[in-house]
Amino acid sequence: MRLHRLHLTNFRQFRTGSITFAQGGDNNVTVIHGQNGSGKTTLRNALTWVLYGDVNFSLRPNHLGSQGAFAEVEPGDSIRVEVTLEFEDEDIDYELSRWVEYQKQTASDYQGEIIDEDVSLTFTKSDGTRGTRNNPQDSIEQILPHRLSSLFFFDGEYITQLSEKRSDDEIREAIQNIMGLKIIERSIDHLETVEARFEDELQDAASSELKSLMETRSELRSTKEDHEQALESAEETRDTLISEIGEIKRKLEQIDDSAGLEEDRTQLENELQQVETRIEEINDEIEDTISTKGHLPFAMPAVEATAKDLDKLRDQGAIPSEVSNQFVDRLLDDEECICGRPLEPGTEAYTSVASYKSEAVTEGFDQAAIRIISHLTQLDSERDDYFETIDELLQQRSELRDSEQEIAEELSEISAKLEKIDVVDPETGETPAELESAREKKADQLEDAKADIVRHEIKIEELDADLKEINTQIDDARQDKKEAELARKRMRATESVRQQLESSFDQLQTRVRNWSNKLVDDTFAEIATKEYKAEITDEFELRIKDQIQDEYLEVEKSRGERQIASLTFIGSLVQIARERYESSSDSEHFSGGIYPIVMDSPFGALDSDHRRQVSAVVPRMAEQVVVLVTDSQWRGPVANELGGRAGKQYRLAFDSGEGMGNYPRTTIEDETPKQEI
Amino acid sequence: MTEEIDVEEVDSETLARIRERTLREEKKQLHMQKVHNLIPKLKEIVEEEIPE
Repeated sequence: MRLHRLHLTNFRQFRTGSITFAQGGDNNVTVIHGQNGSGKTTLRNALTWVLYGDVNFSLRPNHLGSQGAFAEVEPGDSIRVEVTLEFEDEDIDYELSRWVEYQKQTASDYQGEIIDEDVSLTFTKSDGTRGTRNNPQDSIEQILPHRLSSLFFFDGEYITQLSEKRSDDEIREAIQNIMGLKIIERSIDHLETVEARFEDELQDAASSELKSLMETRSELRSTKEDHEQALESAEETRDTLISEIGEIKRKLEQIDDSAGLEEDRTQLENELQQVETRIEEINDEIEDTISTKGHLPFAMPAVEATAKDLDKLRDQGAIPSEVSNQFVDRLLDDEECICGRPLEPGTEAYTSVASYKSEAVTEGFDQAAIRIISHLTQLDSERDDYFETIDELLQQRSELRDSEQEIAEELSEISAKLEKIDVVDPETGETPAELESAREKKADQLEDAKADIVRHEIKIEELDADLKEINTQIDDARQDKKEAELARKRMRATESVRQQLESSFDQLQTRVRNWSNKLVDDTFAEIATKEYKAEITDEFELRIKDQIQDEYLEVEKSRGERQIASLTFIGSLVQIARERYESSSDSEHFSGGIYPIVMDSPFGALDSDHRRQVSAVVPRMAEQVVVLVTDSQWRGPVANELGGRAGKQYRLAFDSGEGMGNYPRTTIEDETPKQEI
Repeated sequence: MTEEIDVEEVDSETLARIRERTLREEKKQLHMQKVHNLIPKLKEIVEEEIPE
């Protein structure tokens, strides 16, 4: 979508006025500046109103019509408020108009009553074909979905909020929408409903045996769903508790009386974590050793008995020894018998001696017997190694468990000490004792939540196994009705497609996260003054981190940093959508798009340095950028950086209309420097 | 862990067509908060691809 022109008639303080937007290239920025209250926010609202019928005014939100226009007409007369937006999308030119006809009710009525309203969308294709869209709102939704609009038409306040934790859902939603994850997610949900419909058809047509199996399956699925919901809820509780405990920890670290103890606790907790990890590793090693060599102790009595039997058989000559064959071979090679007779090949004596040699089968048996005896001896040594390894691992585990116990005792002592510190912290108004007591309580709740999670996970796994079993039984059940067979086939096909989509969703999600993460971090590195790192987490949350030694820790952001983080994020989204648009393939079902960015007062909380840095990056955030700024924000570094990139520049000249018969009015003055010819 | 499905009886080309047609229908209504007649449409796709 590329914005071309916006025209307003009687919209709030604008009697009539137009903005022509700068197009792509080096001068892709449209700058609109004016004093506070001159109508910057009204212009942004004019855009959202014409596109979606939405406005967001803090003052007189229902008064769309110009007061001046109402003043000029008599009661009973009407005035028309209209906004027209000309834009281009996918090589089609559009003209979108939204208008409302108000009737003035009384002499002092400056709001009017709506008597008619409409929206129209006309288009002109590149071949000159013209037409009107029957459902303009649907067409607009296809071009720039309403749910995404707040990401592209925003004000300074919004961008500050965007990097706060409460906006995590919005960020997740935005990424999923932009990247085409949403379409897959919705397909998965809808196909599940389709499956259920085929299942109903199958139940109607199925045999009583099959019906009973399917009822059981429905119950199992329902139970599984209950456990999945309970699991989700337990996971949420766990995350909340972890965050609350972290918050208490931070407070304890900040209070002088408890800071030292809290530091000791952090160190001990880290040690405990290491010990627990090592115990887990040892358990894995023990399991591995038992599964690969655990048979040895049990097999050894039988092995020893076999070895004895084989020895005995060799002593008895039942198994020819390896030496006997070698001895015969040597006599034949030397061509002389032990008795001194010559052994020439082909002679009777030669044949006679050669006949002492064991036959091939016997030879194999002979060798095998020798090998077995040798292996049996080796097994004996492996058994000894096995016991030695297990003993060693058990010993290590026992020592680690002792350490674990010691650390737990030390942690308990720290907790007891903290619970005795009754000094009120002047900043928080809380005592370490109160905080510790609350922490203990939450830690207990956390353990319960963790136990719940494990319980539900085990149950879900069991139910999956049951469902697998019952699916097999359903498959085996006789399908004597053709309708049942068909419904079953369709249901399973739908289920399979849904599962394929689930797998695609997981893969795409990982790809998207990596992609957005890289873009956000690269752009952030360009703007941020500090050595911070921006990150999109596994849960699609925007976080700013600082490198402390070898690890990155989340930092509390200043208002300016939050704005920069959000701008970075929005710029990355626009870039992702554009890249996806340029490289889209039919199989991905989401072609991305080219979106403009309209920023209302984006520099408010930034210091001079940040203003300059953000201004340098803004033109690169999107192919088309509209910046609405106050005169004071526009001066200095912003004008220096953006001035050169401004293809169009306007000033909002505001007349407050003080005095009898005058009303507030803004005119739009074109300040774009004339091109030299 | 999910239940494993054996759909040997429906060939992979048919499954791929159902998938593509489903996504195309979803795309048409992606912007709508509440979908309009989409479930019957998706069911119809499966019925057309796996006829009697």
